[in-house]
Amino acid sequence: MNMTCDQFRDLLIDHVEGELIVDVQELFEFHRTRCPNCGAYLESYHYTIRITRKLPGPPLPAEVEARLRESLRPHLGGGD
Amino acid sequence: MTDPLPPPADADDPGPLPDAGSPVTPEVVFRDYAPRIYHIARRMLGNDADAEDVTQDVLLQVIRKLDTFRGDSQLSTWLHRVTVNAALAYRQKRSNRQRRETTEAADEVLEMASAAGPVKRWAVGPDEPVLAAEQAAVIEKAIGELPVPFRDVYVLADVEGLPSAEIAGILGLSVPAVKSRLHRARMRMRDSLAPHFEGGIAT
Repeated sequence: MNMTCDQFRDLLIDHVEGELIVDVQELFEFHRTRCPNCGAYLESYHYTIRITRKLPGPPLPAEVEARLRESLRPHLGGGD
Repeated sequence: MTDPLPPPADADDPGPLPDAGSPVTPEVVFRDYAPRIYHIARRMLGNDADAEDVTQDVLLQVIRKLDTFRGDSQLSTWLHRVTVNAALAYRQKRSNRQRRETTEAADEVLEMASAAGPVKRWAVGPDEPVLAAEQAAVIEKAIGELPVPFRDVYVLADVEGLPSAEIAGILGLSVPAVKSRLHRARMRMRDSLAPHFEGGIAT
C-alpha cells in the first residue's frame, strides 16, 4: 500500500519520536526515498526542532533583574 | 536519516539545585530560576512587562514555599507548572480587560502549506546546528507569531524540552491533543523558517 504525502506529514511527529510501528515505519521510509518533496520536508521539519532546542535562555535583562530584586528585597534578604 | 533528538539547549540550565547539604536560599532560587521563569513567561505572553509581573509573582510563591521542597526535580516540575499557570491567568486577565481574545477558537485551525507543492531543500549541513544571533531572532519572531494554543505547547515542548505527558498535565489537555498541537506548531514553524534556510529545489 502506498502512502500519500499528506499521510506522510501526519506521521512526522511519531517518526521523530521513534513511535511508529515497524510496518508503518517501512511505508514511511519507502515514501521518503521516492518522494523528494517529502524527503526535503522531513529534513527541514527535523531541523526546525533541533535549531529551536538551541535557543539560548539569555540572562535576565539587567534592568528587569534590578526591578525584581527591589520588589522582592524583603524576601531575598539574608541570601548568599 | 533522522537522528534521535538532542536534549534541549541547557546553556542557561542551572541544573539540579544544591543537594541536601547546601541550603536553598531565596537568593539561590532567584539567581538560578528567575531567568527561566522570565523567558517562559515572555515567550508565552509575548510581552516583556507582563513577563516581569509573572516572574515576580512566581518567585514570590516559590520563595514562600521553599521549605516544603525536598528535591530539585520536584521544585523544577512545580516551577514550570506555576509559571505556566501564572502566565495563563495573566493572559486571561488581560483578555478580559481587552474584551475577549478567544484562544479556543484558534485551536485546530492553523493553515499550513499544502503537501502538494514543491519543497525546497534547506541549505543546512548534517551536523548539529549552530545558532547564530540573527537566526535566534528569526525563531523567536516565528514563535511569537504562533497562535496562542500552539505557542504554549511549542514553548514547553521544543524550547523547554518537557515531555508531552507533563505538558498535558500542566495545560489540562490530553496527550494526543498536546501532540496534535505540537505537530501543527512545528509545521507552522517550519514554514516560517523555510525562507531563511532554503537552498535549491529538492531533487
